[in-house]
Amino acid sequence: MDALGARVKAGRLSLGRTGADRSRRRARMKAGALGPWMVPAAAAGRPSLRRPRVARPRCRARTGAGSAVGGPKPGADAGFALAFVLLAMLAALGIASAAVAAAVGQVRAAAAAGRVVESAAAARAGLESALASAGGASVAVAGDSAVALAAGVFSTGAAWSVAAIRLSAETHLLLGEGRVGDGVPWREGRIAWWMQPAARVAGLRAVVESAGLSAGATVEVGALLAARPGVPACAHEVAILRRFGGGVPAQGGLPAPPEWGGPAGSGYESVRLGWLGLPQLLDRADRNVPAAMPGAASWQGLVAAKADVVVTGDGAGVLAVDGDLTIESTGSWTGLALVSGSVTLLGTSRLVGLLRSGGTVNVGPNAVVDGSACAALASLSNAPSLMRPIWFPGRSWAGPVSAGAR
Amino acid sequence: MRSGRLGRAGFMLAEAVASAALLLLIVQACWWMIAVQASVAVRVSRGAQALDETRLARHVLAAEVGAGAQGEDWALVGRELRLRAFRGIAFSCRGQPASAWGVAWSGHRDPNSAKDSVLVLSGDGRWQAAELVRTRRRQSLDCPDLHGFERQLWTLDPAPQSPVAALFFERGAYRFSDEAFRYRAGSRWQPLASGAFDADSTTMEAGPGGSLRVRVKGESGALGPARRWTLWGRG
Repeated sequence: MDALGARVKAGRLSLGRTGADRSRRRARMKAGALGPWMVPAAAAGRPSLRRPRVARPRCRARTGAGSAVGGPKPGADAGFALAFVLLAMLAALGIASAAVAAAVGQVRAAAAAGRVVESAAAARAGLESALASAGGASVAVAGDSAVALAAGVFSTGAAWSVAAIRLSAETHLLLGEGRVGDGVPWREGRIAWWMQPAARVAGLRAVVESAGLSAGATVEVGALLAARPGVPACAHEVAILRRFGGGVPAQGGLPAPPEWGGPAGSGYESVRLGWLGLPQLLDRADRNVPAAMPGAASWQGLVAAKADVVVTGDGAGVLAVDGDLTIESTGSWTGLALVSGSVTLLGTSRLVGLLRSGGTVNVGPNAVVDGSACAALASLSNAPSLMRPIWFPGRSWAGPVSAGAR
Repeated sequence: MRSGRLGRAGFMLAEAVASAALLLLIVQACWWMIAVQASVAVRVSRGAQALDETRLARHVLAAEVGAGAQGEDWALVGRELRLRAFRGIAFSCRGQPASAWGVAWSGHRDPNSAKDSVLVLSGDGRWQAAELVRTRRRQSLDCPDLHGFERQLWTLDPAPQSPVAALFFERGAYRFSDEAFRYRAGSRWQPLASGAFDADSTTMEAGPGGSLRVRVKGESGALGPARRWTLWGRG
């Protein structure tokens, strides 16, 4: 048995003959040491029927450059594993692409949802911003087109704008619009109460609205729309002319709740001006008076007190008192007075304007309540803190509103 | 001769064994890789679907709850969120015909007298409910020209006194059941998003300050751990 056979028998794997094997075999052939079945034909004296075996590498690696001459045809099965791996990689790539596409889709959807939320937030914040910055009388006309109120861009890049539509004298629909980039805008609606002085004055039905009026009190109603020193005439105001043009009683009862005297905890249980209760009035007051008030010559805006008040000098403006009001002989008040308790006019004191009192109004023999719708109107018009809109109490959000097509 | 055959046969056997082992290894590795990738892709796909549906449920609930006040407009009854589903607003036009109320309206869909009711804000500041009996288009109404708003004549019962504005709504309810997020309009529960929610572990409960707490759990853990939101109603 030759060396190769021995190695195979021994179970050793050989992928080819080594140079030493070939040298040994050639040496044995030359020396006649080969078996009779391997004797060269020339040496045996007969023609050989077989082509002499040529030592050649039996097998190297079947794939790649290792294929030897006479072995399997190069490339016949070369690259099978590679093709398989490539196929598998292709399948894996397809699956991974689907997963990546789903993930990218999620990122886009989440970004779009984020833009919607950002637009909605911009619309809402724009409404708040517009409300906070709005002041003075509303320029919108009831039944007319919307009026641009405010606009801006937040630091996030979201643009916002707010338009006001006047629904009635004091009711407005504010439409806020938020937009991020070129995205679809988001619109929010909210109803606001925006005091209009003429409508407020026209809401009173008498010069003195109170639970009672002292006997013999002097309440003048003859010059309700006339001008006075520092008070212009107001007959041009349609609402006021409609209410006071034909005259009103000197004294009348208080309006029914909730216009006056709301339930406890509502904020309207004492003094109220439209949808502004005592907390709002105290908060907006241009001047908070603890007790005694010397007065001033000019309009003082809104003067509010959560206590009994004594007026010792001349004063003008909107006076809101959660308590009793006393005007001393040396004092006077011009404008609108809203008092939760009783009102007492001493000596020769005067109250020029309109009065609403939750208690009894005591007017001294020489004191006068000079009814003047124009003085009440002027006091409200000269109280800028009252001209800021507020959200409608209770339900104020109005939606949903279509984004609309421009 | 025998030795040569033996050598060749042995060599081929070893080669075959080695090749088969190698091939098996490659096939196994490839199969494992594809299987893992397919599994991951399925999870990603299911997660994406679950996220889509969760996002939808959150958006819908946030919009509906945010449009109303707890107790007044929405309430939890058992596992259902019953509510006034507001669908749009309207405000009064300038010229008013005698027979009906002329409005400019805007919303997510047209007012539908078959299923909508109306909350009307009157001039004295009170909101009152009324039935929407009939709607008619009337382009000749004198309304502010505002994009997104259309003109209609509404007949309400009872007829409103000095109406200023209105909200129209339908009665509806939401719940998570049978793996789906469902909405009930009338008597039928229709799925809005299905197959993604573990209805037993998904809950809604009233929170403090007029809020609604929602806990959403994905079916078979598609969403990972449960997600919680707090949605706020409006005062």
